[in-house]
Amino acid sequence: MSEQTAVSPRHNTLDTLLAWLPRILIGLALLAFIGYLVVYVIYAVQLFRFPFDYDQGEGFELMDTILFSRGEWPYRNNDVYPFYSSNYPPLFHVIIVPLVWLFGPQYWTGRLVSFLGTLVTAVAIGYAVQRVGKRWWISTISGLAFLASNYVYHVGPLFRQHMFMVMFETLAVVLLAVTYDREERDGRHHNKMLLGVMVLLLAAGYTKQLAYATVAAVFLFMFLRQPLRAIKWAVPFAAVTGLLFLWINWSTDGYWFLNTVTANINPFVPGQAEGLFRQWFRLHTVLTVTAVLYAIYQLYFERISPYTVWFGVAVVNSITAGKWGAGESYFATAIAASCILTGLLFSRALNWAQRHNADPAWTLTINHSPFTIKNFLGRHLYTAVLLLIPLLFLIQANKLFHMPTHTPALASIARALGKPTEVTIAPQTSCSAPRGPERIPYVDSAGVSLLGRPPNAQDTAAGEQITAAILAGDTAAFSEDAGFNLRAGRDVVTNPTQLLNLYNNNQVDLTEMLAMLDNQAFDTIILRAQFYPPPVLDSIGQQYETTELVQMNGFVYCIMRPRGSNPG
Amino acid sequence: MTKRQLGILFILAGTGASLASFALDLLGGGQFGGIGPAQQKALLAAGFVVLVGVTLLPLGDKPA
Repeated sequence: MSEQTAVSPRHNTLDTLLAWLPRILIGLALLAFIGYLVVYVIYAVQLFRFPFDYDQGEGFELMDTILFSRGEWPYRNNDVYPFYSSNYPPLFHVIIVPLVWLFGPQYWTGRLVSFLGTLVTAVAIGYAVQRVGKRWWISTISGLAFLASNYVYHVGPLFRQHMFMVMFETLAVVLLAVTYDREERDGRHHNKMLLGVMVLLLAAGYTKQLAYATVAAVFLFMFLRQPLRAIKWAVPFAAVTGLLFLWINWSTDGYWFLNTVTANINPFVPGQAEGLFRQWFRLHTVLTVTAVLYAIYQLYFERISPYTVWFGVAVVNSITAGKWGAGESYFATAIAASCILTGLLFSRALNWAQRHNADPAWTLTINHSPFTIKNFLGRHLYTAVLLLIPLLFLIQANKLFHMPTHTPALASIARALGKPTEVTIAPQTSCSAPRGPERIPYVDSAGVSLLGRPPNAQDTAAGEQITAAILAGDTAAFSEDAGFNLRAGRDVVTNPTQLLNLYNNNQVDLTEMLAMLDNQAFDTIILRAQFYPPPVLDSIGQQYETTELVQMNGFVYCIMRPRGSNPG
Repeated sequence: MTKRQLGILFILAGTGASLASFALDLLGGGQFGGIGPAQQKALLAAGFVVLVGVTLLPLGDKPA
């Protein structure tokens, strides 16, 4: 620990305590956040080994990658067999294509890329704080705090494109800040760097549509600084984005627009948005309050930084987490921004305290009194701030608590921290009778979470059991998860949530699909959450019956066979 | 851009958002006859934005 505590060389107990206490607290804060990194890696490695869907959407993102690896677009006609289309932009999947060429259609490919993306984001956050604050431990914790967020932990190592979008967003905003700082220092424009920002924004947008908020934040910041320049850059940026959009739409006969725009117009659930906002604030209180305070300070007392604009826009945009199908990950951008603002404010506070330590303005002698609070603070201002900051980080670490407890060592750590070592949750059922609660070796301050518990050998065995059920028949299964068909080497048939979105927007013709179901054209139906549109569920209910229930990842899957058939 | 201009932008944005929420009513949006709960929250947020804008006005020509 290199921090100087500015305590006088006199060796009394108080001075020794004040010299060591900050170092101990900083060490503990670092330990806590490094601990979260270790937990994150444990979870990620377990997921890399798991060959089935952990989150329902993962298999469909793998399917998109497979289609790209064959040189095909995943934006297709949902009216005809296999009724499949993607609703996400292509970049994340295109980046994974070489891994699929090399290793085949494996879940770990996309999970690894997403996980590495979160690490890059954390490094970018740490760099953004370090280049201004120059306090290595604050910068380190700021970056690690992003990975320690329950939301980032849950989604980071999944085969989902969201966190990869956040990586591009973070890199874009950090590069924007570096560019403007350099331009102000050099007194000239650095357009090549700004071009880099635009490329990163384009990459974010073509990874996931939600990046529009960061695009808006960047141009809003540029508008605040130089309105004309912002417009000059916005026009070609919009043109390139639009031309790329039109090209993909033309190449896919309009299915790009249908599947990525029209099908994403989902109903807004106010209760879901409010619940997620409350949870986000409860879990990230220190990061959020600090970021808000710094934003207010900048708004009134100095120039507004790109990070403040980004944070403001990202928080407002997090309201979209209330859309059906959206969720906690929609807060990841706001969390990244809040980590940077928190690190910057803490670094500035510490630098300010060091400069003003023992400042005469902070000391006051009243009637030759040997001790007053003000004198004490004056002497130990820097030490006081140095105590406060790691303490706040520790409070934040405690609020974010999440830990798998499937090994004796992890369970012991949780116990030693005064946390529960397991939770009791009933498996999720939708197509079968409710089941009693079970002990789950995973604790999360976010509450009962479907994500976060590392999958285990039983989950893999359950996945293999469901795959075997498909292989017992001759056709692809009509399955809510793509992973079982992929494992069995059969076609991936439709994406239930995408189908439901299209159905709700009157953009799909189910005639062919319903005819196939009515004719029992599929040997196997696999339900998990019954996300299919009502007519599809009706047809399944009339033509198929449940023959087997298999529990995987806390979900009970219903394996259904055609009514009147003899499976044996 | 100055802090005052930013304040004016905030005031315009807040006022615009309030008007937009009423315009939605005129276009037949929403499930409530009067001011619904979501609209109430939106109006409060818009009012807050206007208030922030007003407090920025005295900061004058300081760069935003």
